Amino acid sequence: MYPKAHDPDRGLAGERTDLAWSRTGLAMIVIVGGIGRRALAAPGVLEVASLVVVLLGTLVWGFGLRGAHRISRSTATGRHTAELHLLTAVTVGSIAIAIAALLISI
Amino acid sequence: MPPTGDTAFGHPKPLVQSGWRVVSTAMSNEPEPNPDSIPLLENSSGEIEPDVRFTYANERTFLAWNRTALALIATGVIVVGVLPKFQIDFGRRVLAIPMILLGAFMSFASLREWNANENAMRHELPLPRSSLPRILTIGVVVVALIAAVLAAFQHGA
Repeated sequence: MYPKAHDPDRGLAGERTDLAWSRTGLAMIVIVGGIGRRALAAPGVLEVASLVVVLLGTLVWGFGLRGAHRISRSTATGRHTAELHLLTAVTVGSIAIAIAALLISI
Repeated sequence: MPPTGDTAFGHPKPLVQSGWRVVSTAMSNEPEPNPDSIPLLENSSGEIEPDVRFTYANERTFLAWNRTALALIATGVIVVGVLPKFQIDFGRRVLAIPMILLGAFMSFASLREWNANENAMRHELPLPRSSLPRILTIGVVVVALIAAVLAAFQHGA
């Protein structure tokens, strides 16, 4: 069930995970840019609220991304993987983005 | 989680922190201990530290579902911002809001699923069956049906 210690895939798995974080971060940047652009085009109460929510969500998300990136860099020889609080930050950030999207779509 | 370091032979060697102990250095299906195998670590709760490749795979699956959630949210925003107005009132919102809500739900559900998988691996239990593909399929089909109805009204008007 458990692999040989020499297995190079242990390091490559960390690299793949790091890339997955980068892809998700890029997707996040695109959607935050889209919401921000739409909110700034016709600023009203809901749009300003959505901007605040999206900024807070991005901050929380960035905290999760930064922590996970730091961990995945330390995993070439170790066993550190992302922890619940980091992934919770990502989820909270994504839900904040959804709330901001709802605010500008209502 | 316990850190590891390299031995003189380049093999990962666990530097076991308090609360963790080495329970085996053998692969579970091998009759005798294999020095090349990665040691299994166990904490006082009986949890096994799983092979890092499996925890990475679990993490990547979580991220893939999160990207799917972000794509759903982005599509909802695009529907409201880019599509022309439907002849039915609130037509664009009827399409967009379910997609955004589905995206938020998928993000939350993916965290729960990551946690359930992680717990199963740490207790050497079978991985729970994922409900996310079914939920996504149902959500997308519902949105497609709404879009079809809206398009039909658009055409007939």
